[in-house]
Amino acid sequence: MSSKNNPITYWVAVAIVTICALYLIVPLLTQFDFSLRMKRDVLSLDAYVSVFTTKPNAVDPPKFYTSLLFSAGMAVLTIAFSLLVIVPTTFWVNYRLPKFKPVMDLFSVMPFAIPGIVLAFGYLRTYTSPPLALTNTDAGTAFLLVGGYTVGVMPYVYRSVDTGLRAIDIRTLTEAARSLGAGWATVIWKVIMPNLRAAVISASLITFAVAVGEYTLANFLFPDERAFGSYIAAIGRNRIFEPAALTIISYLLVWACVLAVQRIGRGSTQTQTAVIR
Amino acid sequence: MDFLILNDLRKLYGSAVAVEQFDLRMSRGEFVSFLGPSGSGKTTTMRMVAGFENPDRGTIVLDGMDITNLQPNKRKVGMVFQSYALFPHLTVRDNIGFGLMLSKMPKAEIGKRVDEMLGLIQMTELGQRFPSQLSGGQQQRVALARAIAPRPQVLLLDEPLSALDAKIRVGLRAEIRAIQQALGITTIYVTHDQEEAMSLSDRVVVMSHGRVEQVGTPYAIYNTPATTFVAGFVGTLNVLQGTLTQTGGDTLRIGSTNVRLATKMEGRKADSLIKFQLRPEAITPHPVTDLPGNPALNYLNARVEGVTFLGAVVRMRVNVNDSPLSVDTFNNPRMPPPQKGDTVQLAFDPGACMSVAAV
Repeated sequence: MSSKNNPITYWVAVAIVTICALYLIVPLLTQFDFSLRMKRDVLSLDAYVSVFTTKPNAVDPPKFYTSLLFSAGMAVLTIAFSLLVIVPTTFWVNYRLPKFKPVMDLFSVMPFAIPGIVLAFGYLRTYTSPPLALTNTDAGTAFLLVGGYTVGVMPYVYRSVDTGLRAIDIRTLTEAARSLGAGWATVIWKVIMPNLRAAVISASLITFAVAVGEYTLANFLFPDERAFGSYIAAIGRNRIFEPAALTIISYLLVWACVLAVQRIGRGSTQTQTAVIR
Repeated sequence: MDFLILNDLRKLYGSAVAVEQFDLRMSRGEFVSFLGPSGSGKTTTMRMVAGFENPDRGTIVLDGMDITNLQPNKRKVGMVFQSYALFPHLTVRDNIGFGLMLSKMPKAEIGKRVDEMLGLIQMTELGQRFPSQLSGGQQQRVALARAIAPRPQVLLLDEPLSALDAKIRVGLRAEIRAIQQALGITTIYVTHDQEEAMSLSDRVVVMSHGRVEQVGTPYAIYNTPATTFVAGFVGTLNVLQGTLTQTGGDTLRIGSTNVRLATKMEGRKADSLIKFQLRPEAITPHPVTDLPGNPALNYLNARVEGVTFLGAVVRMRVNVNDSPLSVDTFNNPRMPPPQKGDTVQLAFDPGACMSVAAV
């Protein structure tokens, strides 16, 4: 009798999945419930209204939007930068330098060994004085932040891309494309990347989630609570119900991102296949 | 005039020699097969032509231009792979049009050329399918169409039929040859299957241990092998041995029977042991009741050890003087094949005997 048909195995599996789901969902539900209790004895959306409307002064827009926009922008830049660096590198290591694979594997997990605060202090020491005084400008600091995020998400992006590459026959596909006249950029962009869609989506999603909520680097490089992580921390220090509302909003944003990225991914494949009619 | 010249190619992997002293001159529109066992250097040589491997020595000249150090995407060399290598995210049409798109051909012309290619491979109705929705044979036909769509100067086929089942392989083999002849495209075909090489090619390059053993037409390769390796690798060979009856003579004694060879064994002394080889189809079995009828032929008595009926051909395993031989004969509905244990007479022409010393 297969495990699929064994009722004991089936119910054990159901129990494990249920416990895991509850472990994830119950805190979210209690958080959501708490976020609705800003008014005594009444369920209301006041905490959400407060998050969306509280302005630092009469002129500026609510800080929720500006900080979220800022962090989302940094996250998008991080996705672009990390994919730009990691996809070709991982491809090249797999295609041409398989001997370096163990080195790359080791290198990719090094960010786990470096705490964010060490990275932040390292950046500040290195890039606050000439000749690399990047922190003197917002653009320079943002570049540092994106660089730091790229390092931080490297283990996830590398693993995801590497797994995706191993699932396809990159050697033959690359050689087929090359024999048809494709340069390296075309090979990566038109042959490898479309076949890494799932890997790129998952890497992008992880990158977005990490970058939007990141606190340490953002707080040290932009101490004015410009980033979403810093803003949530500041709200948490001063308010009671708004942080719960922000947590729920963050989750919804992440899930919206998942759906959007999947839609975009599917759309791009359909467009590609519609080129030659 | 030579269209593709491979001149003194050499490729090493560390200290291991993959290809050594490879010379070949191909004329435009010629179909040449590289035939050899695994590790003979045939695929490495093809990959050097494609530009995926750089030769350590030698040059590759295509239509008068030295392409030895040219990038693969600049060579105008189409390639078909054993594993098809179709782009899984693209439809059949997009796969075929991929090379055309890269050549910046106008979209309308791409569409026309893709239609033409789909017609050529008889898959007009399947243009919108993805590779995963096709059979192996269909995928390889698309791969072939994709490779020839940009009108490459040379087409390379790297064991394209190996992953297909026998029936499809034979059908597709004929299609490949027909398309190649229709387009007049210069083609190199890598295979370890001698039947494929012989049936497809204008010429065959037999390779072993990175070296060319022989270059010739299938007929020449089969009938006049230049080396022992070629003789053994192409087709089946029987080896017989006998003692020379007189110094420098042309007659051997096998058991109690004399066998004449086509050439005299100059320089060989009487009673020296001589080996010679015979193709299975060069031997005709007769019942022992038939008297030796033709004095120009050799006759040997043999015991039948096994009979395999293959339809058009009957393959027998026989024993002559403790030497096992393979004999192929056409099926004759009016004369059933002999049974295991029967004794037969084997007739063969002295001209069919290939001396081991000679090869």
